[in-house]
Amino acid sequence: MSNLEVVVHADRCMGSGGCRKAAPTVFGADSEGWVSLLDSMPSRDLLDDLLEAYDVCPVAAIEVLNDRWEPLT
Amino acid sequence: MTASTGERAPQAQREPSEIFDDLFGGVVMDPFPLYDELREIGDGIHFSELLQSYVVTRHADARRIGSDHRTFSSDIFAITPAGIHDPNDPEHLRFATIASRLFMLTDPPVHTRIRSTFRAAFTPDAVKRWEPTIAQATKELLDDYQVGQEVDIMPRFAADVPVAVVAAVLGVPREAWSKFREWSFGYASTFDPLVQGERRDAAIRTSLELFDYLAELIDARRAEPQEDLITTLVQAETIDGDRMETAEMLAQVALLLVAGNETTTNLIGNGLTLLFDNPEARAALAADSSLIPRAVEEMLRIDPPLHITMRRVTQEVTIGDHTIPEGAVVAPCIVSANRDPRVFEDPNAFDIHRDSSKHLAFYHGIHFCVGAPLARMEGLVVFEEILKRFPDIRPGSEPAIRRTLNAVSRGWETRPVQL
Repeated sequence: MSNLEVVVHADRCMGSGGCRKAAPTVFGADSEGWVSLLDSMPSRDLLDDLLEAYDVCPVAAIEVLNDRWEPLT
Repeated sequence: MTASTGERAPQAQREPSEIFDDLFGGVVMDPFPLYDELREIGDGIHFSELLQSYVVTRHADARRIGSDHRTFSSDIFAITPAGIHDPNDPEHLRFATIASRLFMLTDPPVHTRIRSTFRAAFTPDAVKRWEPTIAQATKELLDDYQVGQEVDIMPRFAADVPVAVVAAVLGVPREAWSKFREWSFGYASTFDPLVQGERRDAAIRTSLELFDYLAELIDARRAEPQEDLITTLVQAETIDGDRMETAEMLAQVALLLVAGNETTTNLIGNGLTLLFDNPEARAALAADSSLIPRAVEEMLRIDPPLHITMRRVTQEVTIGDHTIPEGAVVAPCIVSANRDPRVFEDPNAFDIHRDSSKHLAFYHGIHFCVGAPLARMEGLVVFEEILKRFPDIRPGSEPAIRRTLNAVSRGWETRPVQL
C-alpha cells in the first residue's frame, strides 16, 4: 500500500503543539517550538493520527494528501 | 407558505428573514434560540439583507471558510465599520492609512510577513513569562473591592483588566495608563457601526493621539530596549529578513488593543454570568482552581465574545446547497458553530468538564487569534483571583442587561454583582 504525503506550512505555525501530540513520529519541533516535519511520507497506518493532527491545528497549517497529492481531509 | 387552517402550529418553521429581523433588530436579549433555529433550516446558510452577507451557521462550513484563505479573503477593511471615514479630511485619511494595515484585515503575503513577527511574542512559553505581570495588574484592580460590596463589573473591573494587562505587557509607563485607557476605548469605538458623524470624527482624532503616542514608544524602544512586548516586536525579524517599519508596527500594536480589550471584557462578563447560572460549576471552580482552564474554554464555546466574523469571496464557491458568487460576503457565525449539535453533544448545556477544544471562539486558519494564549492566561488569572477573594460572588440586586444593538459582540451592557 502506498504511503501518504504530509505538507506543513511552518510559516503559519503558532506552536500549539497539537500535531506533536496526535502524531509524534511525523511532527516535531525545532528549538523555538515551531513545527518541523520528521516524516513527509508516513505509512497509511497513521492516517487516523494525521487526520487528528489536521483537525487540531488551529491555523490550518497541515495538509494530508494521498500519493497523487489529492487532499484526504 | 400556505394559508393557515386556523390550527396552532407552534413548530411551524419561520422564514430566515423573520429570524434575522429578530436577531439583528436590536431587541432580542437571548439570541441563542434564534441561532439554533437558523442552523436547522435548509443547509444552515441564509442571506441577511441587513448584514448584506451570507450567514453561515454550521460548524463544518464555518471551519472550512477559515481553512481556505484563498477563496475567503480577509482584505475587507473598506467594508468594516472601521473603514468609515471622510477621505477629504487629511486627519481621517491619516487614520485610515494606518488603521487599514491591521494584519487581521490582510491576506498573504502581507499577512504572513506581519504574523511572522507577531507570533513569536505569543507562543504559550512567551505568554507564561507575562503571568506575574498579568496577575499583578489583576490583583491591584481587585484591591479596590471588598467582600459583600455591590458593583456593576462591566464598566469597572471587566473593562479595566484588559487595558491594564495590555498596557503592562506592551510596556506603557504607569503614568500614561489612564490616558491610554481613554484612547483605547476611543479607538475601539471606530469599529462600532453606530458611531457616526461627530462621534466618529472624535473617535478618529482620539485614535490618532493613541497612534502618535505608540509611535513615540516604538522609537523609544528602538533607541533603548526594555523587557516588554514593544521591544520584542521592534527586534523581531520578518520572514523577508528585515524589520517592521514604525507605521506598519504601530497598526499591529493598535490591533492588540481593539482585539484584546472588548473581547476579554466580554469573556469576564459572560463567564461570570455562566457561573451565576450554574452555581455547582462556580463551587467546583472555587474549590479546585485546576479546573479553571477547561472551564474558560467552555465559556468561550458557549458564549464567545465575538459572534460573527466576515470574509469576502474571491471566486464562485459552493457551500452547502448555495453557490456564492465572487465578491459576495460570507459571515461565519462563530457562536452558532460552537453550539452545533453535529459537533457538541447537548450543546446548550454549560459543562466545565467537557472537551470544548473544537470551539471556534478564536476562529480557525491563518487568522486564528494570535493573542489566544494571552486571552487564555487572562481568563485563568481573572477567574482564579475572583473566586479566591469572592468565593460567594453572586448576581447583584439590579438585573443584568444584555447588549442588543451590536450583532457582532453581544456581551453584557451591565452585570451587577454582589462580591
